[in-house]
Amino acid sequence: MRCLIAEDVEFAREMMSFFLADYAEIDSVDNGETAVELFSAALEEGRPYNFVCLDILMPKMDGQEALKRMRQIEALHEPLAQEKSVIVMTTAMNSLEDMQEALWRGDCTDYLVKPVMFADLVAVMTKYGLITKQETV
Amino acid sequence: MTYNEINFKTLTDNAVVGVYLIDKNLSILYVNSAAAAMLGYLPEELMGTTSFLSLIHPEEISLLTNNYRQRLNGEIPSAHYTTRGLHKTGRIVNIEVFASLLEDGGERLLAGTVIDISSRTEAEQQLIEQQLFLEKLNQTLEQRVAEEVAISREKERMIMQQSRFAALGEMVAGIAHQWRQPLNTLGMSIQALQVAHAKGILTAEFMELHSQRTLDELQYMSQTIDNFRHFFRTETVLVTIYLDDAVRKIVDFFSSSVALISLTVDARSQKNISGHMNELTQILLSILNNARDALEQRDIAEPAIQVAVTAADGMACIRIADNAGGIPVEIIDRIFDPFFSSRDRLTGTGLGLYMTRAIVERHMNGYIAVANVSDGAEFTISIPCW
Repeated sequence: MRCLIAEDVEFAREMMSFFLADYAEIDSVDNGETAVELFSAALEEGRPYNFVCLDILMPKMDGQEALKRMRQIEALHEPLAQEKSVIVMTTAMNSLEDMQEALWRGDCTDYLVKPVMFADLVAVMTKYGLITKQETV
Repeated sequence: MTYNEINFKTLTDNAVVGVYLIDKNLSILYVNSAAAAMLGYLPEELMGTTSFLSLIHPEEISLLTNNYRQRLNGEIPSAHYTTRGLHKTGRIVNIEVFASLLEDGGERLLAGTVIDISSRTEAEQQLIEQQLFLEKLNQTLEQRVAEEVAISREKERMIMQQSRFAALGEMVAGIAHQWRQPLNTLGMSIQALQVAHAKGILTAEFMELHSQRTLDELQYMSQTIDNFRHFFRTETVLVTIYLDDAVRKIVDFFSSSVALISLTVDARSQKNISGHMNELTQILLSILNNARDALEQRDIAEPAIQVAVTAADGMACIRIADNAGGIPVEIIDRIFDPFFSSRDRLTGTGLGLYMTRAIVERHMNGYIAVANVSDGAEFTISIPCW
C-alpha cells in the first residue's frame, strides 16, 4: 500500500509516518501543492496512492484545494471505483463545517478530527479495506 | 371761576392721566374725563354726588380710608400706591395713584392723579404665570433629562458588560486556537509511546524524546494562558507606550492565528502615546480579526494585511489595510454602531468596532476612520503622541 501524508507541522507528520510505517510505503510533504504534484506523478507511473491524509490548513495550497485537484486529476485517469484513492482529511474542530461540505460533495472519503488518534487511523484504513483486521497491531 | 380755577381745569380736563379731587368726607369734588373714563363713567356722573369709596374694590377700602385719614391729619404729605378700582360694568380696574394733600381756604382736600395699569398688571401676571410655567417645565425637563441619562448609563453599562463577555469569549477562543496544535502533538506523542511499546521498540531515547516533547508542549500551553491573561487584564493606570514596538508585538501575537495571510508591519513613528496596553491590544486585534474573517469568508486568493505606523503634527497614525474587497457602501456608515455586525449571529457580537471607537475617542483622545481603498478596507486610528 502507498500512503501520502500532507501535514505542515513536522512533528505531526513524523508521528503519522511512525504510526503508518508498518502498513504502507509512505511519502510525506508539508504543503498542498507538493502533495498534488506527488499524487499526479504516482498516477502517471501507474502506482497511485491508496491512502492520502490531507491536513486542511497548509501553506501554498490548503487541503480543500489540494483535494479538489487530486479528484480532478484522478478523474482524467478514469479509475474504477475501487481504485480511487481513499483520501482522509485531518482537521481541527473549527474547520468541521468546511469538512462536512467536502464530504457532501463526495470529494473526500472520510475525515479525522485532531488530535488524530492512532486507533482512528487504523479504523479508517480497515473501514475502506486498505488493511484487514489481522494486520492491526 | 378764578384764574387759578381756569388754569386748573384747562390743564386737567384734557389730561391723559386721570385727575381727581375729593373732600374730607371722601365725596368727589372733581374728576377729569380720563379718570372717569377709566371706570366707565362721564365726569358729570361722578362729581358732587358719589362717594369715592363706591368706586373702590371692597377689599381695598379699609386700607384706603386709613391712608386718607393719615393724609388729612397731616401725618403723611403724599402717597404713591396701587389699588383696585371698580368699573361701571363691575370688572376690576388696576390703578396706580399719586396722591397728595391740598389746602383750600382752610379746608383740607385730597388730590391725585391716577393711571390705568390693568394692561401692565395683566402683563406682569402673565409674566409670573409664564415664569411659573417655565420653572415647572424646567423641573420636569431636569427630571426627563435625568431619566434619559439614567437609561443611557444603563445601556452603556450593559454594553460594557457585554463587551467584557465578548473579550472573555475572544480570550477563550484565542486560547483554544493556540492549544489546538499542541493538543494534537500531545495526543500523538502519548500514542507514539503506546505504539512503540506494543511493537517492542520503546527505547530509552524514544521515551526521552517524547517525554521532553510532551513537557515542552505543556509548557507552551501554560505560557499561552499567561499571554492571554496579560493581554486582556484590566489596567487602571495610564502608561507611556512606545507605539512602534507595541504595534509590532500585537501584530506578532495576532500572526500566530493567520498562517495563510501575508502580514506586514511597517512601524516607523518613533513616538510614544499614553494609554493602556490591553486597550491598544483590544482595538488592534478587533480590526485585525475583522480583516482576517473578511479574507477567509471571501476566500481571497492572496490574502494580505498591511499595518503601518507613522506620525505627523503631534498625531500618531496606525493604518490597517486588507485586500478583502472593502466594506459594502450601504453599511460603511454603520459599522461603528453598537450591535451592528455584518457577520452572522454566532460569530459577530457587533461590539468590536463600537468598543474600538469608544476606547480610541474616550480613553486615547483620538479618532478612528474607515475607508475603502483600492482592493480592501483601511482603518486609520489617530492618537496624540510625543
